[in-house]
Amino acid sequence: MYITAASHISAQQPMCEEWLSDPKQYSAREYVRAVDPDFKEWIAPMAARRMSPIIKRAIATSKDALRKGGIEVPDAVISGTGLGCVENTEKFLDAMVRSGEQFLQPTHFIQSTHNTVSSQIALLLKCHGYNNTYVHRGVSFESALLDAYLLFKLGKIDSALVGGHDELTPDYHKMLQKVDFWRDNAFASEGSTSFLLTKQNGGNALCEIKSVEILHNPCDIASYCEKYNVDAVMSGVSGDKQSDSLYDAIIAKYSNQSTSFYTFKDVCGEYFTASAFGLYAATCKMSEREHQTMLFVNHYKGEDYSLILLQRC
Amino acid sequence: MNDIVVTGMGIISPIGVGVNETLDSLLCGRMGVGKLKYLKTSHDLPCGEVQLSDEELMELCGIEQSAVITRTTLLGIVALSEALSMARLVDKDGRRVAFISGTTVGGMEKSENFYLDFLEGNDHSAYISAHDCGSCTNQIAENCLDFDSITTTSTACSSATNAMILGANMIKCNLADIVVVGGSECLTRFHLNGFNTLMILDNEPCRPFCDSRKGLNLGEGAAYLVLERENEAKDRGAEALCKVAGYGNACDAYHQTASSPDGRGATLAMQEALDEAGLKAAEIDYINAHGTATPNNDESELAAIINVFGAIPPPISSTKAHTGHTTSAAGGVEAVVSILAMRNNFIPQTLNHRGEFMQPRVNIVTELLRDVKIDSVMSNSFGFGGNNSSIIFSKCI
Repeated sequence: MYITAASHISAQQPMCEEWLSDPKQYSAREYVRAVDPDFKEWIAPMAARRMSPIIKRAIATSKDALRKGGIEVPDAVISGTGLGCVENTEKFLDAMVRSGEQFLQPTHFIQSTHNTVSSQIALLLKCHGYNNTYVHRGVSFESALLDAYLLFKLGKIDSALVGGHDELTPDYHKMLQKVDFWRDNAFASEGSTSFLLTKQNGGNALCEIKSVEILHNPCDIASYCEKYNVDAVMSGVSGDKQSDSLYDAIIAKYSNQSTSFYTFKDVCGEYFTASAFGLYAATCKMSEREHQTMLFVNHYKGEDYSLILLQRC
Repeated sequence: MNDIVVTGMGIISPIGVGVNETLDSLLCGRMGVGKLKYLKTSHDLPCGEVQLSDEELMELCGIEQSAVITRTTLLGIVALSEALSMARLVDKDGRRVAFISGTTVGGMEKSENFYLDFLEGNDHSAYISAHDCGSCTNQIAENCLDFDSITTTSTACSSATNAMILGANMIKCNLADIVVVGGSECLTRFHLNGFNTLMILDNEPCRPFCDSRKGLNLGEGAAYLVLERENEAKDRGAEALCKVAGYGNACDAYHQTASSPDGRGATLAMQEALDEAGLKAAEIDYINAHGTATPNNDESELAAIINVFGAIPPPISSTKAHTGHTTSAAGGVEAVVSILAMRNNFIPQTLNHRGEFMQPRVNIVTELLRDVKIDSVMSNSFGFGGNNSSIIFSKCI
């Protein structure tokens, strides 16, 4: 499958590649909200007022990716989100806990489920095709990507809108801080990255995805990389020393060749679907056509790993 | 033919722990919906509750009482252990085994009790990391087998069916040799209050497909299927219980919570499942409907069934009054129910039906039917947000 278009809202200037030449810099363990674009271009202001950040961002990046790729309605809509619609969940939960389960309104509950993102996109696009949502920590986005990859392989779809979306509210940030989610030089953030994937290269594809793998507790991650002969590696090195050391074996495996190494979490921060931004960053590098093949590797706490093989068009 | 077959099932629900108890309950028409015993809520609403406390579940799973673990996870461990044991999957033997589980509430049942502590105190911080859906799935898995890959689906009430679809596709594309698929979800005040604000809960036991139905009852449970290729099951000496004939996934794209009156998404999902199975509508012998008993779902589902099957569809029943609506686990629970019906030649009844039939009148099974030959059964799971999925199981020939 081919990445035909991508769009992001993140800690960097949204929906553009300004971060490549002039990235915004953040300090260790800083809490950085995404830089939002003017949503008026993408969502009617009345509708936008009722939407939480994750929904607005997901819709805007989805529409941007579809517009860039020249497809109005994709055959499938698949999302990954580590934490889902946190803001609405908190609003309903907070009201429920503090009110003793009385006088609750349905509004926040309705848009609290993790599948709200995929279904809102489908509603907006009137897309009756395949629709799914993955919620598995650091491989939420990669699971969505894997799902699309299988559907392409089985000939069920010709195009798919696949995204990784997370929002980090001040309260959830506070809670995750208590369990040391961000350590050392890693910084906390959020974001939404959407991709238009197509079966064929319509002449405008940015790169090709050759394979997608998700692995749980692999005992020797470098051995899984044996089959990948690449000249570039994009890794999820985040500034968290313990977490970063888990990439050492992979980096060592490729370092005796003329391999280029890239990172993305220094640009977008650490969150469950940071890997979606990472794949977009990898796509940007691949579209510069300096590399033939690139391995994307990311992990969360050494538990769940993802490996994505990219090839130049 | 090298079909994908089911070689193991595991289930825990309000009508029993394990496949045998579930079968007995279905055969005697046991209603698992009743007064809440374990969930502490200010609402007096009937629910389908698993008749074991967290402490009893921990004991059943052999887990220390001090463990940081959620009820969703405990239910999952019970069901997953049974599924693996039935499939004789103790040792992976070099096979690539994946686990895909559906859930929506994840660890919410603890978070809703410890929420203020999470924010302001330090007492239960360990549960912060157990809140997200993926953490529940990982913990379920790690207590049972060293799975090679794990992920979690979350499409509300069709989560478990969508887990089955991803798993089957992984086998078809040779990215896994064996997949264990289904879902787990416990009762939470969050869900109960949420559904209550939508005014779709019945304050009496639910009555699916009854013309005067008032709403659904929430339930809880977990269920998993072990799927693999038929010849590999044979190699392992695992019995094939039935095959996965086909499945479909479509989006209603009508409303965030309501289903379309013409059942468009459901129609597409059922039709896709039939097409993939290469079956004619007339070859489905029983439909285990989503049948939540909300006025909206049952009307929309019936319209969709008629769209696909014509004016005289096969016998239909809903087992939601047996188990309550187990939401993200429903697709797993009802897959097990469907397979049990097929293998034991019966159709479970739609409990609590008052004989008031919806129009157009179709064959809603209101009394248990025995000695029914079922070669293929369709199980429907439709979620909030229009996430509609349908799966067909057929006898191995």
